[in-house]
Amino acid sequence: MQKNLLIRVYDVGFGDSIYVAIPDKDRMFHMLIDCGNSNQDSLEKLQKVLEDVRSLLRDANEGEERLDLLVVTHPHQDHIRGFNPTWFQGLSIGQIWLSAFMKEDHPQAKQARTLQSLSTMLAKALLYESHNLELSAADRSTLDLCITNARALDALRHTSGNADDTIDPDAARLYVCRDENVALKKAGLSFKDGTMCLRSFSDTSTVLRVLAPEWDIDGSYLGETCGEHTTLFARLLATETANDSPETVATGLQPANISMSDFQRLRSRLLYSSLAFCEMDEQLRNNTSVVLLLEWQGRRLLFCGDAEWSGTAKRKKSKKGSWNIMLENDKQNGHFAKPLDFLKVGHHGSINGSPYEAESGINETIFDRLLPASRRGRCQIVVSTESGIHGKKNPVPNPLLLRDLGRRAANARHYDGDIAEDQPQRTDLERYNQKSPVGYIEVELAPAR
Amino acid sequence: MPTPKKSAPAGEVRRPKNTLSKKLARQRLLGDLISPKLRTTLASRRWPLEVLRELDLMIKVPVYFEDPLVAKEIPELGPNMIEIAWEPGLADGPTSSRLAVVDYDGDAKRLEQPAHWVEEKRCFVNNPTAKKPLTSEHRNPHQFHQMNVWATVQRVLDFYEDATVLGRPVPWAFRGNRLIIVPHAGEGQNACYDPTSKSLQFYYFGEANRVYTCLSHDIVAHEAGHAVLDGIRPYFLDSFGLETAALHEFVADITAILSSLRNNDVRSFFIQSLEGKKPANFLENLAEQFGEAVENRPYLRTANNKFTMDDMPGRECHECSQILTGMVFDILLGLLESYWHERKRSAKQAAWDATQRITRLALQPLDYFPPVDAKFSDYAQAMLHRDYLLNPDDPYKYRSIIRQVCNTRKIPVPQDDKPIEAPYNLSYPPVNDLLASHTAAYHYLHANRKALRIPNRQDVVIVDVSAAERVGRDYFHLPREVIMQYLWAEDVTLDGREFGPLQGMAVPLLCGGTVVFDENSNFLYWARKPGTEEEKDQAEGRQRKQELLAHVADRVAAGDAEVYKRLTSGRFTTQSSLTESTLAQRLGLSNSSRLGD
Repeated sequence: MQKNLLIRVYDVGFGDSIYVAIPDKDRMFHMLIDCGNSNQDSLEKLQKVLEDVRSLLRDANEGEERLDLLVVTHPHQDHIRGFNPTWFQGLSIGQIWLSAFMKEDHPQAKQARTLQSLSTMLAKALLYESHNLELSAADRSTLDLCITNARALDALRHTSGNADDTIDPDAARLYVCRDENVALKKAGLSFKDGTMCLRSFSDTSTVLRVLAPEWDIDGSYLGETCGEHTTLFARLLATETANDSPETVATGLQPANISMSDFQRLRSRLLYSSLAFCEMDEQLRNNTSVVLLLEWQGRRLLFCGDAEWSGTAKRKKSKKGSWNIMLENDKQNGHFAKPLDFLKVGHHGSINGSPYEAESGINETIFDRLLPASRRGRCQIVVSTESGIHGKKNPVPNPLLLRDLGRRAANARHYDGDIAEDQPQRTDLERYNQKSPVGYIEVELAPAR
Repeated sequence: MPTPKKSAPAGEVRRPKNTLSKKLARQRLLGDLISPKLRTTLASRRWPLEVLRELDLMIKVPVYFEDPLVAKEIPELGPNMIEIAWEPGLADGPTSSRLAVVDYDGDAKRLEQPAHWVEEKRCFVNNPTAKKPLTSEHRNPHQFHQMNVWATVQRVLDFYEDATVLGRPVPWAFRGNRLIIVPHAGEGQNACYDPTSKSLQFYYFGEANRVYTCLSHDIVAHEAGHAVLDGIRPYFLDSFGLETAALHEFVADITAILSSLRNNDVRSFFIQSLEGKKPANFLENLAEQFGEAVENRPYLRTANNKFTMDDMPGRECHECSQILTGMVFDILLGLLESYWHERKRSAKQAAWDATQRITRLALQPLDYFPPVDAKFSDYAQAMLHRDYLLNPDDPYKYRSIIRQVCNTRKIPVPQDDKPIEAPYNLSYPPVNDLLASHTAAYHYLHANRKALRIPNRQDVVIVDVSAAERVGRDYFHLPREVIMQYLWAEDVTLDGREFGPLQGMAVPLLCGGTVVFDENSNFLYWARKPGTEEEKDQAEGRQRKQELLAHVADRVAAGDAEVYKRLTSGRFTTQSSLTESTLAQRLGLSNSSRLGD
């Protein structure tokens, strides 16, 4: 029986797929977090990941392919593209955790759903109808992410219908959030120390906490300004009269040589307006990522999904990043008070995927608490990423972030041909060392006590 | 209608000479004698530009012939005066009958003051109190940019409507007659044609050395080319094939090249660059300034390339379009060689003759395209057949040049001059009836369903019926042509697991044809894209159907919703049983209102 906790962060290209095997007294608890990559990556990579996971499950469970928990952090292609029901046939799953944002009739996500629908249509229009538009890599990536992979979502959410259309119809689907939730309690989760958590392990010290998202999607992540814009934009698209539009009244914008409706339509179709909305939707989906903190045998592991940090700006009405909200909650809950033993870096190493700056009012960054210099070399840090997908203007992964993390990581590497300093292990750069057909970075953690 | 002068290139301004200054004086006298009412009447009749010039009904506008970077390196290609036809109702913007400039910056959320039109002086100025006409030297450049982009697009439209090209008014594809031009749409390395908002959008970028795409003649003419082709073939943008998309890009690129060649100075520079007297070939490198600033490459695409159809697999449409652009450029060079060195004309005359010839060769065949899914071979065949109609004897073997170039580029093309045969049993059409109304044209089609291989059970749409009055060599007036496009949709069921949530639904396979007659009802040309229902066309129809199914399966496998657009947002109302709400549910999209509808 394996005693160490095993993590495999798979090399899927620009995306995430992480397998975690948690020793739980006389059994293993098997968890898979996400399975996706970008439209520019090969689907074959994801198929091979699933074959490898199934092989691990068979080895661990005497031939039975059983996954205890499948976590889908948020509905972006690079996290859900691999949820093809055909590939999951024969795989038994205990529970499927989906971000609360993905609940179709969520009463506190109406504006978020409107934004999502608008951005999907705008992304389609920009990608398929605006001709000769040559988009930058970053813009194309944003637009690709806005076009929801409907088939994968259906397969994850629904249990009825054709067996070819759904992933394990017997698995319980839970829309998870941090705050106290009756439905989740009925399904076996508990609310302790400020978060919903799974504590039904044989080892009572093992806890899987949901640090994000908040249940109130609109209130927490959209912000007043964003909500106003969504409403205004929806009205612009419906070509309703602009007479009472605050923007037109405030600025007197109306050319004399075209009609009001033509101008409204034009504004809604300008690249900036459309891209700005698509970016808002991209950020919203990222910020509703399921963020998990696993506490096991004295070890602390953080899986960040694509949660974003919106900096220390103090604009009252601006939307908040998930990290900002988690840090606010942490003032009461204290889950970031102790250092980490493992960090799966958020948002593929993007600068806004980690709370990189010092918070307003204090002189330390959150990294100093989670990855303190005094414990240098104690935390395993992994980045699941692919450089070059996002273009050069805002590079992903970000070199500044990588340098900072490299100074704190136990598994720091120096990669020839990349940045000069040490950085944490990266799936895209480790692939050149791999000998197996399925690339991954493997981390084993022994119990702390 | 007065015969156009042989040696008067459209839109050009000649340097004044003694004889010309007399001519200008006569024009001005004539202009002064023409009352405003008569002037309006004359302008609204769409006389040839040469006639309007004689009547002093042109306005002079400074524009960049290339872009500011080229202008810096080659001053003679800097801002220069061109002539645009005056029309009644010219207004601030600029705004003309077919174009309206709206200088709205979506990034800064700012609406700039429009260039102001002064009717008495027949020029644009910076603002209502300004006295001097707009030039590129004005401190606030926005109004000059507005005028520059308007004049460039207007020139492209006039170029296409001229008797040497299509010889007819060019409609826009959208509902309406005025194309909106946005010269400073926002920050971005982009320009685009957006039919939904009826606009051409030009963006800007760069901090230290700002690049305005609205100042690049190549980029502006390119986008205008898209709008023109969309107007005459509105279903091309609904086609899924790579070659049709590449044809769109090709027409846009060749518009930039050929409209540039209309300028005396550009032609002169081109000849000198071929002779090695001037820097290397700038004409074939499109969008010089844009290309320099973006991706550190000297130009975005080049007409001087050796790509063939074998290079197409795995490429996207912009790359594939270079095959055709290169083909036409090769033909241009071949013609130039013939006129200059074989037929011993002066360089200047050879350049002009080659320009005229290649313009007719490359662009008049656009009217011979089928209404959907055009391929490179359709274009090559149309080009050859058009030339055969104009020059049956071909004494200088120019069709051999075309065939040779096509063969080198691996574009399938007939190897002899066998004329296109009329469909068997096709009746003579009453061409005036065809032009009278679409319903009248439909009656003709219906009576000839068998000949035109239109399935009896399919309802047919008349896409367009137009009359073209063109000129050929030496401005010889050609017989009027009547061009009719028709379309129907054959439902194709998506049967198979590869179609995922769309399984069981129907997708339209657009079929149709273009048939051309002269004014005496003689058959001239027929290009068609069949379905699977008519026996004689079944092989081709099945192949088209397989291509469509493969495309839909590919999109579904990729997990994107582009197929949604193909099924419901095309401009052709399909006979599919699919409703938008059903499909939206299947694909996980909500029923929010569609953009722009």
